[in-house]
Parts: sequence; C-alpha cells; structure tokens
Amino acid sequence: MKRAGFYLGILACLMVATLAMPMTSAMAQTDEFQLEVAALYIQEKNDDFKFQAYGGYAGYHFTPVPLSSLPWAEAAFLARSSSITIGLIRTDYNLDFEGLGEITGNGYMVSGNIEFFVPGFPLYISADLIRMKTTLESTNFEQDSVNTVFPEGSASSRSRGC
Amino acid sequence: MLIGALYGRSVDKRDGEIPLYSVPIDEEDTINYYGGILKIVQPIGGSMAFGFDLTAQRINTTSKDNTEGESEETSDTNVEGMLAFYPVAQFGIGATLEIQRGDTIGSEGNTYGIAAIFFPMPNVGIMFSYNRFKPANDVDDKNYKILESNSFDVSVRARF
Repeated sequence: MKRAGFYLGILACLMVATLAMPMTSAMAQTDEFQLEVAALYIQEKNDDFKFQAYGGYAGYHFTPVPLSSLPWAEAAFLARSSSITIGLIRTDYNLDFEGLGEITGNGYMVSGNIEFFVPGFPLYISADLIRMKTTLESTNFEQDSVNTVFPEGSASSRSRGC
Repeated sequence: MLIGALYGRSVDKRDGEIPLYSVPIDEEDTINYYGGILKIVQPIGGSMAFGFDLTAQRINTTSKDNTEGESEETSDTNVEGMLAFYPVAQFGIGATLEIQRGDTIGSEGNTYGIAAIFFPMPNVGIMFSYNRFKPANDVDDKNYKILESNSFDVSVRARF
C-alpha cells in the first residue's frame, strides 16, 4: 500500500506537469502579489505512531513581488523581497506502543518570521520566533498526564550574504 | 545565490506527573543550533531553472532533569539538501535528502523525499511533499522504538 501511494504521488506530479505546460509566460509577466496566505496539512506515521498537523500562515511582503517567467515558487527569493509571516498550527498525536497502551495528545504551534533584504547591500537577515505546547495523556501508560512545552521560547536569527 | 550563517536557540520544558507513583516530571532541554545555508536558483534558458538548497547544522543539546539534579550533553549533525527542477515557471519538482547523525536516541538516519509545487493560476499554488525516514539502526523493544516512518504534507497558498 505504501509503495502504491508513492507511485500515485509520482503520477499526480506528472499530471500536474502536463497541465502546466500550456500556460503562457506572458500571463505571468503582468502579475504580482504582496500578501500570501496558505493552509497546510502534515501527516507522519509508522506502525505505532501517527502525527498530524494542520494550520496556516499569512505573509506580507513590504513591496509587491513580481511574477516573472522564472519559477513562481521562488518569486520572493528572486525579487529579494522583505516580508513578515505569522503562522498557527494545531498538532495531534496518537501513539500505541505494545505494552504501554494508547497515548494521545494535542498541541499548537504559533510562529512569527521576518525576512529582511538590506537594500543595495548583499545582506539578508531572518529571524524566527516559535512557541509550541503539547499535552500528552494516557489511561494505560503510567505517564498518565504529561504536559510538554517545547520550545517555551525559541528564537533563531540568520544573517546571510548573497 | 544566497550563502550565510545560521544560529538558533530553543528551550524545551517538560513538566507533569507519573500518577501511579506520584512522581513529578521536571525536565528542560536547551538546544543551540549553529550552521550554514546555501540557496541557488539558476535559470537555464527560457523559463526553466534549477534550484538548490543546502542547510547544515550542528545541534548541541543540554538536558537537565530538575527533579534529579542531573544534566547530560549531546551533539548532533544535520545536513539537508534539495535539488529542484522547474521546467516552467508554474511548476517545479524536487528531491530531498536529510542526513542526521549524532548522540540523540532516534536522531540517526536518513530521510529521502520528493516534492512538487504547481501554480494553476498566478495567485493559487499547491505543494505536495512525501518523505521517508530510514533510521540508521532499527530499535524495536518494549521500551523504545525507532522505526521507518513516512510523512507527507500538502499546502494550498493564495497570493493577492
């Protein structure tokens, strides 16, 4: 079943590529955007573990980002566009280890990100702030109630030259 | 091309109780990330382009058990790369590889993935990726399991 899902994914990608071909680049050259919103779903699983996350983010670019004939997925990077993004994701956990019983949990992740390209200078600075909280519970496992907070406050900063 | 340095820091606190014995849990991990980033989007004629992303990180973790007063330090290395091909502006497909090595239980292994992104309209994008994690060593006993796992994610974005 897993292999079938993999090949199904490949097939879907090829279909998408076929559909994309007839689109003209002329249409792209007249478009731009300044706000991007997204919804996402993530699932990870093995025989004993299933993790799901769903949520979304919104990003605002300080100047309009042009859609040229180059990859639209990389439009903001190619335009050296500075932006600010916030996101909210809900997480669900389900674990069923043999002998330990079923453990369930849920949580959330709130994130903020700012990307800044220094005008006229080959420098790019990015900073993220992420807060996650997860609560795990089980009626069988001896860890009946475990509250997990990770990271309580995390921040990373990046400075890049290009 | 974009090349640069990365630094990150996170604090992971866990608290709670094992009710059967009323044993409190009070643990804290402080994680520092150091690394580098490389990103290239190279046009190769017309609207075709290649993309390459590489991130390498050294991850140092200090774990403290505040109830026992003990601490432990571990180090891990994580290298993640993606090679993408954009035959047209609206579509791209890529392959990813993430290599994780280090001291943390469960961290060692490779993750192989594929990803695709498609913009059916200039203001609507759909992304899909599939990843398969293969641990360096399978651990499967009653206390701890590290097994192969699969993950996928789908996102839909709108641009205004």
